[in-house]
Amino acid sequence: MSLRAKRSNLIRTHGDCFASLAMTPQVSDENTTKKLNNFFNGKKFTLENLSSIWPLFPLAFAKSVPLILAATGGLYSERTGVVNIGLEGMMLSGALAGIIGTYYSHNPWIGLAAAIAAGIILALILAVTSVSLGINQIVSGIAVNILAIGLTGGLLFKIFGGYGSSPSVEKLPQVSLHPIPLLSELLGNQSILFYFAVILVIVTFFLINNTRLGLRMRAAGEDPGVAASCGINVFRIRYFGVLMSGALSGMAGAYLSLADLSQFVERMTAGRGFIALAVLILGRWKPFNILLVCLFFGLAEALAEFLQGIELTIPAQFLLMLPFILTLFVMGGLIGETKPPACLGKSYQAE
Amino acid sequence: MVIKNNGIKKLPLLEINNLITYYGLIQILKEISLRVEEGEIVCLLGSNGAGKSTTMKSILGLVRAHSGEINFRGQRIDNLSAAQIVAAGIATVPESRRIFPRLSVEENLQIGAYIHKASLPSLQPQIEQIYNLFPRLKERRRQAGGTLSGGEQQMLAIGRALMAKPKLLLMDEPSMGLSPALVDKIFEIIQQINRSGTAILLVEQNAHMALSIARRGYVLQTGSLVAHGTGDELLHSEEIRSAYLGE
Ligand SMILES: Nc1ncnc2c1ncn2[C@@H]1O[C@H](COP(=O)(O)OP(=O)(O)O)[C@@H](O)[C@H]1O
Ligand SMILES: [Mg+2]
Repeated sequence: MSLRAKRSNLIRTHGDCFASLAMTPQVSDENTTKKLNNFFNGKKFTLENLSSIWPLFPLAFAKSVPLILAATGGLYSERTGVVNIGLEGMMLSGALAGIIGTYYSHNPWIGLAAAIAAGIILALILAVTSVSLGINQIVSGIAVNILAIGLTGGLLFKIFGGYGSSPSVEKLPQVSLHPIPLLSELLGNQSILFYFAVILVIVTFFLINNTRLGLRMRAAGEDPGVAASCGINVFRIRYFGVLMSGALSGMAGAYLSLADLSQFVERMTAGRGFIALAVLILGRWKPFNILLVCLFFGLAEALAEFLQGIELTIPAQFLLMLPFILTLFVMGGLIGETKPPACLGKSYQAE
Repeated sequence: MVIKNNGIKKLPLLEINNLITYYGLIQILKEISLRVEEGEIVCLLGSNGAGKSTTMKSILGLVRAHSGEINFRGQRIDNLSAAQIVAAGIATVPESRRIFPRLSVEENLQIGAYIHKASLPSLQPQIEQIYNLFPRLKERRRQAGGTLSGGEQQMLAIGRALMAKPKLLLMDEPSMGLSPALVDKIFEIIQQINRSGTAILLVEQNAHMALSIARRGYVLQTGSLVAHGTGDELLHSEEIRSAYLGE
């Protein structure tokens, strides 16, 4: 408990993006402990029953959902050739908009719609500046993140009156696959957004590889000049990609505030948008690879919480660093070869 | 220019009048006027940097014309988007064989037909026609475009352009960097495409070969047209040969 107090103190004092980034699970500690107790029917988890690692999996799946949504969103943008550094900010705005929408409507579905809209609005800023005006995509993305941090902090204070968090609201529904014995135990109770995320990955795979739209997206990402000479409207398809990434990362934010927790906490995304970018690289911009990487990262995050739950002295932060270490290795060429869309990050202007 | 044909006044397929194009503040094309009739091969010659590629890009709407007019089948196209221009019937084989290297051969061809909004499976018969023209592409249909040899990539670029079913095909130095045998093959294919009814505007460094298959030719020098005539005339003009064709 003292460790946790120390950590939250750290966040307060060094409350910048990167300090909180290293301490991802902060916001859901209470939640997890409760979950863990449920898993063991009230018995305390000890090293003796470490073999019953089973309950780790539902938690891992739950932790992977925001990453799947945000990284798949990033895939839409990056496959058309636009780097979306702004995923983090879009998630954060989605998280707050979800709470605001639910708070006023008493309906989490309306909250979810508001989250998607918030993500799209921020994505529109990225699209106008980087696609239409040709401003450097990285610079635009950073601007979106800074804007989101300021905007969410300001709105949180304005609407709910400070304290760094919002009141609690109703959550999105949870679904359990009761009729299927093994699967339902493996998954436990998952938010409805988990099932959406899995379907999203399948649909995205099909869309990218087997449809005209997907072909058009890949063409614009590989060589926008030639794509244009084939009659493809590069601007329109890049807008589509960027706005899709906004919608999905807004939804990822709503997962944090309306499914994982039931409230908004300042900077609650804690770097997940950046992890999603790392996931894209590790997953080599392919939907099912991305799903696997997200599940792996979800497992790492779940394990980190697990270890905190039993008050081991192993620094759980090491587990949370895993995604970043892996990404560094991959980008450094130590694990396999990365092949981003050839014109990723390059703006296209009709001459 | 209006030609009488069976008593019907016929408009040229492509007609450019006083085209001026800028890159930023630099004027690249200086009042260019040229035309291509239905079914013709017309070649555009000139040394490096003369503005040949810029002319091609202006026609396709990839570079905006500063002033002047471009008409295609009697319709003004200089204010249309590239997508609309391709849909109107102009396709291009861009300079230096630009294919999509990470997309498969078949996907490259599918993109060529993009403007026709046909479903991907329904394109298969048309793709087979391209394979008949270039059997090598069929063998490599699932391979990434970037793994093909230079000649095969050029064939893929041509096949992709043909997938748009163009009335006018713009070809920007299709023989560049190819072995002599392949150059012959490419010129054979250009004539074959032309015989099937597609007009071709051909930019070439290889002036001799280009003029020998072209009905007419234009010579471009630093953004201005300096000569114009039938293939034969240009081929046999001492002045043209020494000054512009580098002989
Ligand atoms: N994107 C561009 N921006 C600025 N100048 C360009 C651009 N492309 C070509 N140019 C210039 O325009 C002139 C004509 O180029 P280009 O049409 O490519 O010549 P060609 O195809 O006849 O070799 C050259 O001086 C070239 O440097
Ligand atoms: Mg050129």
